Amino acid sequence: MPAPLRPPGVYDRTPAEAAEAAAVSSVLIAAMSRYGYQSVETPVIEYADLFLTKSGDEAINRLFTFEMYGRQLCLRSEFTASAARLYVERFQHEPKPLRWQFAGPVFRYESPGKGHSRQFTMLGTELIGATGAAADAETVGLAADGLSALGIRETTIYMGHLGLLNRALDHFDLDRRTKRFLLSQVENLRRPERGRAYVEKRFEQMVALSANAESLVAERAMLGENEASAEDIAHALELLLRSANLGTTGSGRTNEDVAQRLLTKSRRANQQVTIHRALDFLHSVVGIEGAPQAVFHELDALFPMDAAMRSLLDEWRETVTLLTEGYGLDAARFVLQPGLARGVNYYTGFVFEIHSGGEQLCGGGRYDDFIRVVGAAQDTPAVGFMYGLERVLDEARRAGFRAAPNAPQVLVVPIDSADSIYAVQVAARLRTACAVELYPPPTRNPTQAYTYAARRGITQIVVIGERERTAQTITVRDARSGAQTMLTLEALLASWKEPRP
Amino acid sequence: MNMLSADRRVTLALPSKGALQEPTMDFLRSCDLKVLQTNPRQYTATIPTLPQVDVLFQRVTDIVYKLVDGAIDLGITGLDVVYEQAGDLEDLIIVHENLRYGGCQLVVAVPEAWIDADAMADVVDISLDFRENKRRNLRVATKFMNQARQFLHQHGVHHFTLIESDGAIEAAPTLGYADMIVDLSATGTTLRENGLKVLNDGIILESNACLVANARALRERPEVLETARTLLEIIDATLNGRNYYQLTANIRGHSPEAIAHAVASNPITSGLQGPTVAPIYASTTGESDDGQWYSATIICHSKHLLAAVAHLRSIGGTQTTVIPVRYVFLPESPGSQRLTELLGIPAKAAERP
Repeated sequence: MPAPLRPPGVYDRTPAEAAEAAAVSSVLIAAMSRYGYQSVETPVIEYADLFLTKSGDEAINRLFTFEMYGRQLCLRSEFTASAARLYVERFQHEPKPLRWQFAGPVFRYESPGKGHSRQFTMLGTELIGATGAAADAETVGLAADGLSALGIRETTIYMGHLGLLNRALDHFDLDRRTKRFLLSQVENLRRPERGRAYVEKRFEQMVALSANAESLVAERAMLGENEASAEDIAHALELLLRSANLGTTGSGRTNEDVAQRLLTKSRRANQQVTIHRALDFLHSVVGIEGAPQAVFHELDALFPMDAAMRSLLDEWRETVTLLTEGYGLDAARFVLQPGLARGVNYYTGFVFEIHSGGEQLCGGGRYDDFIRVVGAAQDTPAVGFMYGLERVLDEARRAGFRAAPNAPQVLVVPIDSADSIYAVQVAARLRTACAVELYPPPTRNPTQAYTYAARRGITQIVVIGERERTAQTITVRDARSGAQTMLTLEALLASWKEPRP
Repeated sequence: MNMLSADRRVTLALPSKGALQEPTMDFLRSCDLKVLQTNPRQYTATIPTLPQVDVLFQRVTDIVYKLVDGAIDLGITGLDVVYEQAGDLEDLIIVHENLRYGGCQLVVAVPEAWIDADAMADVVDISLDFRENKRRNLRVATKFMNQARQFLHQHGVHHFTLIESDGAIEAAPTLGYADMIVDLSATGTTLRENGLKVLNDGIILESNACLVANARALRERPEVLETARTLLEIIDATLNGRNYYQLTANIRGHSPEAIAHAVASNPITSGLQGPTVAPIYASTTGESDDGQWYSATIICHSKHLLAAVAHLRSIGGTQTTVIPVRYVFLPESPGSQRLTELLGIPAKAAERP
């Protein structure tokens, strides 16, 4: 038999690593609990559709999917989709807000060779049914608080605001999809190797019409007063399809559908000037980065302000004030990046990431539309964030966090098989006070057991032989000094109750 | 399997049917690796020039499955099937990725009548139309579920339903059980006949026949590595040989040097190193004023054959004979070198025993 293989991209945790992960998790969980967040558990397996709803999220093409009897299932890649599903299913009529915390493994099919994990651990919160700066600030404040409980204090908090970007684009009179396209390109605008030229090219591809289609639209437009109507084009298309022997549009789309889209596309192509203005605007937003006051100042000047935008900006300002004055976070740790555009098809308000040592430790933001999209009957505002445990672990270790060793304090060593029952009874009594390990099998040569105890970091050894059994006593051996004393079980338990030197 | 490895035997799977079956047999024959199938109904065979190899005939898809789980060591199959079933190739190593036959493309095709659609960006938009106006997903018929899904997501199409189907996929839009397809196309004829067109940026994969190995077998069993190297060596030499012709022309001249100089004056006929010139002991003896007869032999690239003949003619070459080159063995097989890099074996360990 060849050695069994571990699938690539997934890792084991040894006892020491598992203890460390559990210790760090429990610190974070305790922090979330201190803010009133209740633990919720959702299944690892969900319908893939649920995750596809977060359309545009780059995690989608890394979803682990599989099919069972015609249903497309997946391993969860994050918690928010499951949280929304659970909310819609059972909590729509509960009083709000709901404060939930999540912890557990999530899965992403990262390509191998980049050293990427395919399973990692996420912990975080969702605050459902709460709007405003208070909820936003609580999320960021809690995220930072959890990290500082681990000793990670030298962090930078990056903040952006997709609500502002979205609202600002409304001033450009763009159709919904073009707007959505532009928002999705903010990340590309920020990347130096892509930039504006790349985005413009993408847009041109989006509106490009083939010669056939172009002439069809143009001809119809000549006939009409202003612009061709969908019916006109559908009719012309019909003639074209027949004359060119191109077959049919298939069952899915009618000629009218194709015609309608041709029109939309050509209208979109005519938006060139507007698009360029919008791109100019986004480009200047992407360039802004810095300390809160400076950035707010610049935004005041840049944004075409209307009442809605002003209130968004005021709210953001208030969030930052709450964090610095209320939560006591040093203003110098904040970097505002209005172009920070994580999850543009999903977040609707402020977004944030906390970084330390060049790594992103957590991230989140406000998503006011998502739960409605998943199926809630009413608008349900929500805000949340997630830690990546593996990254937090590395930073916590660097910051000096050490997990307490979890070796048992006592090793019970029976000498003979006749001593086994008494040894089990002794162990059971001792376990009422501390962790006890039973050394198997009974051994005539306890030296081996002593070596084992030393390696496990066990401090006290209880030896049970015939003498102890008959006398109903025990012999206690100090693992370090080797000093032995025979005493009763009760005496040992009593000695533990006394304050130790 | 354990028994085989104890015997140091190596299993090589070849396509048992389909488009790659005949061409694979022809290809191996052209490499002097003729497959001996004692009984055409049997699923095993041997290759006399590779006595350590047991040949198994399998369907191209089964070859990949069995390579992944290690039931077979080596196989010839299509690149399309490899990428479809082996995902990101963790358990497989593509030993030779283009055997230069079985060429075809995996493409995204839509009805030609969708004159509003030329690129994947259009599919993004159309998929949203479907969801918003028709309240259903765009349906894509394909046999290549994994590659189709990945490609669509990569291009920002997230709302679609894949319809798994095994035959006559190109008819799906006409028959009405899908809106568009992802399928193989060799020449595009079948697509055109079914009123479909390939999107500009809709080519998912350029596929062809390839030689694939189980990664573990290659790393851990010297006999498998050795067989892979032998196959690579002979395949590289054969494929390289197809690029060249050997030309021999009779030319009259005063000295071998003069003829060599004249032949090599054109880079097309300067050969791999230079011409070989040898005297001809002609039946009509005696030296005329033009000198004596020599035979000049060169190797030339096949795409320059006619130009090479013309040049030889222009310097007085007659009776030019042309022979196809069977093999070109370079100092080291480029494929073998690549394999060494792939496996990350230190050069010394990778040397042949």
